[in-house]
Amino acid sequence: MKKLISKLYILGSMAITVVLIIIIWKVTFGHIVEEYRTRQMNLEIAKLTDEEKKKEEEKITFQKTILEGEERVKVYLGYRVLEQTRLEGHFHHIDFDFKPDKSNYCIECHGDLPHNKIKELRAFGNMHASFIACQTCHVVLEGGAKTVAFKWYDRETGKFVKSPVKEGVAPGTYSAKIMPLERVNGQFQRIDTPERVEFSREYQRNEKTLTEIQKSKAQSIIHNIVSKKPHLCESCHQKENPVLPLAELGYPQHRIDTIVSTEVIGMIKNYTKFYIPMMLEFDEKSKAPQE
Amino acid sequence: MENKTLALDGETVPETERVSGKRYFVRLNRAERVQHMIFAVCFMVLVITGFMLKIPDNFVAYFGPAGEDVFSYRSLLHRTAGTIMILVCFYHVYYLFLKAAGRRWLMDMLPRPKDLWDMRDNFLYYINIKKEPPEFDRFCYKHKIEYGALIAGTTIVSVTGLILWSQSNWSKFVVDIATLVHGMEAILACLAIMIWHFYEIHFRPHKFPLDKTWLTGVIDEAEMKEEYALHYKKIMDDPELQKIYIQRES
Amino acid sequence: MKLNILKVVMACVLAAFGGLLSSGITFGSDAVSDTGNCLLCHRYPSIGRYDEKGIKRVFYVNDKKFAASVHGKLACKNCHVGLDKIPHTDVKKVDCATKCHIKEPSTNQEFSHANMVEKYEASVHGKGLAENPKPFAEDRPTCKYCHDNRMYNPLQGMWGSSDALSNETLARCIGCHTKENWAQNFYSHFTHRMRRRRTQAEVVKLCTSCHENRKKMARHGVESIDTYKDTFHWNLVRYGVHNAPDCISCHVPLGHSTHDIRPREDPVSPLHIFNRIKTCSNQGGIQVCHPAATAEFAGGRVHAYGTKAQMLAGNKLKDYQGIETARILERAETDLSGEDIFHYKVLKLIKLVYMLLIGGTILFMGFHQWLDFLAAKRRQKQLKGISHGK
Repeated sequence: MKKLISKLYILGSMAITVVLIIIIWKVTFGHIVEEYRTRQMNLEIAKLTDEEKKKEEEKITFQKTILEGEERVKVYLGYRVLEQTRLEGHFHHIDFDFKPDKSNYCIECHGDLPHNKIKELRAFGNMHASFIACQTCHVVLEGGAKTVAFKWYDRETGKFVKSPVKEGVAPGTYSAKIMPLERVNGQFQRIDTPERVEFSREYQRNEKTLTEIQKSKAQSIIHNIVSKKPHLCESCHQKENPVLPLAELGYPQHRIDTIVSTEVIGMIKNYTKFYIPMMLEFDEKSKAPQE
Repeated sequence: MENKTLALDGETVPETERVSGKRYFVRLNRAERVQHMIFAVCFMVLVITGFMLKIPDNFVAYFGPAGEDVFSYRSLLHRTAGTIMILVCFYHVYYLFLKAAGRRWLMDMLPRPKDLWDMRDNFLYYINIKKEPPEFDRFCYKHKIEYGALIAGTTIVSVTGLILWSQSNWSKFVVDIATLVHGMEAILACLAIMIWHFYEIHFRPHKFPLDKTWLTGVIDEAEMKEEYALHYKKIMDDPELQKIYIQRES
Repeated sequence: MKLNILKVVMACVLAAFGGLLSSGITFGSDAVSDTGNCLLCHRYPSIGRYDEKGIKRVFYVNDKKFAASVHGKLACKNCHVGLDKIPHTDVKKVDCATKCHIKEPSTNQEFSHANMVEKYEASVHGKGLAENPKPFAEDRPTCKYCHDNRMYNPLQGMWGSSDALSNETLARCIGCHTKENWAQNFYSHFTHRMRRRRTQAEVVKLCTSCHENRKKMARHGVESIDTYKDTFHWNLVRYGVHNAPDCISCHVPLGHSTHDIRPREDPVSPLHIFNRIKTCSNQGGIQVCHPAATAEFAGGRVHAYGTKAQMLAGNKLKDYQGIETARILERAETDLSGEDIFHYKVLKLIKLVYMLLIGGTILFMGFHQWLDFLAAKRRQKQLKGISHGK
């Protein structure tokens, strides 16, 4: 017993000694180098022009924008902590982790918010991207391949699931997306066939080692189902012949009415001053808008 | 000489009546050991609680929400240990002047010219120019240096510590100086303890791992002859000193 | 020990309660009255885009969180003025000084943050008044830099200590003010000021996010504040002591406003030499710091002796001469008095002496003990040799 205590005592003393020596070094001598460096740094900074002093922050480096850009920030609200991605200058709390779509191979290259160019369309396009797969709009099926069959697939597993709208999930929080089915040889099949997916993933894996010509070839093949002109807004937001079979996809009548209502159609057609009246509420209490 | 032994009262006793057991020489008597123990424990506590203020930020984060409690206990311990140390120091001063053993200690601890020559001779011995180490009295130059450092260090640290404890009464300049000196002197004391004292009691080859004198107060005869040869001679020649400095294993 | 168990139990109860409440029950109000039906589009989390700089622009609004925030009663159009077209090309940047159509009960006028904004623009952090704009206004912190849309804490009492107190208080309010939602909202509104929004460590993090950025500070002739981390005050903050002094405790003590921070030379400022004792003793508030502070004690500099002191004491001014953008030069000469520089030099001297002492001590002691070790080993061999030789 005594031996154990004395051994512990010795080990303890050695540990404390080491810790203390490190601290002592830092406090006594460590700061000299630091101070010198700080002095030099101050002088260098003083020599920069005003613009240069500012520019450092705005420099777009890969490190800062991409690697550190996924920084999560903790918002302390006293009674709970919201953890969400950091968004510069964003005021509204988000507290919603948008689960990425892991099973759609378009997103693997193009990202989850791909629309960026056309000012009028980009935000809307991205908005729909949370519950409509890329292929639904960007693959305009023709002739024999064309079907009116669409199904919901789960964002994480990729498997077909029941319609979240029917299940009563609140809009905006669906974990599934709509995807088209094509008819090949009389059979219905998902448009992201295993072959297409595998081809795309193989391309991604080998991208670094391919030549320019090989890359162009592969990209043409991957994109050959993409139509030149995608379905635009009117294709679905119309009463006569919408592309999406909303009722089959599980949308209740009042939601279908909202989607194909005059206001929405009018907004799309005109892009001018308009007002969305309160009638466009998305719960059971709403009445269908008057024609 | 080997046949005769000295009994406690100084008479030579024939071998047949020799008391059995080894002879031990007292280095620290009871009062001194108690003072040393209290002082050592306080010192440890003070060093640990004091340097907790200097650990880097990411180590402090490990305390988590208990950090506040940790800090308040740290402050309490530091001040308590400091107070106890100051009180022990006061007792030590009283001991030095008003107790016989203390007065002996003081007289033996005063620096003399012999210490300088001893230091020189010892260095020469270390570098193998002299073949034999010098003969040391009860306290050699090492002990005197250490004791001096102790006195100076403790005084400075205590005074600045008290200034810091009563911050509001002093000007900021004084408080700044006190902070700096308190920390730096503590570092100096720590180093003195760690490099000098801990070597003496832990790492000397014949003492490793631990020199037990601080608990028992005695060293054996062989060591006495080796380390403090002059003192040994003085004791052997003087019955009074023998009464004080010799203990027998019973 | 007992106290600790009590604390743990309280923490569990609070956590459970918080979990319950945060599970989606909009506390204190119905979902925001969305008269413009903005949520038709803005309820989708993916509405947004990546802009040219790679920054993610998110237009999603979590209406439950918004309804539970301090701005929860406001309609979208009250702050986002000019929403006539889709896409919203006409919308103006949100101006916190807008009148937001809510009648403020004490004056019965439309509420607006305009008076705060005015005060702020005139303070050190502001852009300056229209006649007298300050240089580099784009560096100044905007409202959003510090203010995130604070959410009402559910029934936690003062300083987050007990929800039991709130429950009982609220029950009595509801006795007469029978509309429960309204009563809860009103109670939350005025009690949310009784809790700190941020802990001390977060306040330090917020302030130092600009004030430790050397380049930004150099642009304005201010020195970087990393000397705060050398003080005892920071030690208290980093350990999480509950009334630790952070930036606000000294620079915005009781009776002052964060929007009205003035330079030290302004007699209104808590750091003006006449106001120091009041600031350091900090009476009347929750934090009681140095109640016995004397004028000499309070007259010192807390986090001091940074770049400016180094420049002046080390005669490094000549290095900065001729650099036009070295604005810190002007301030260095007026900010630090001769006495301050003297103090700094004394402290540096003491530090130097100790460094020499410590260095010398280590060398001497280390050398001595190393030699002793070698000699002792030699002696051991020697003695063994003698005894074996016997």
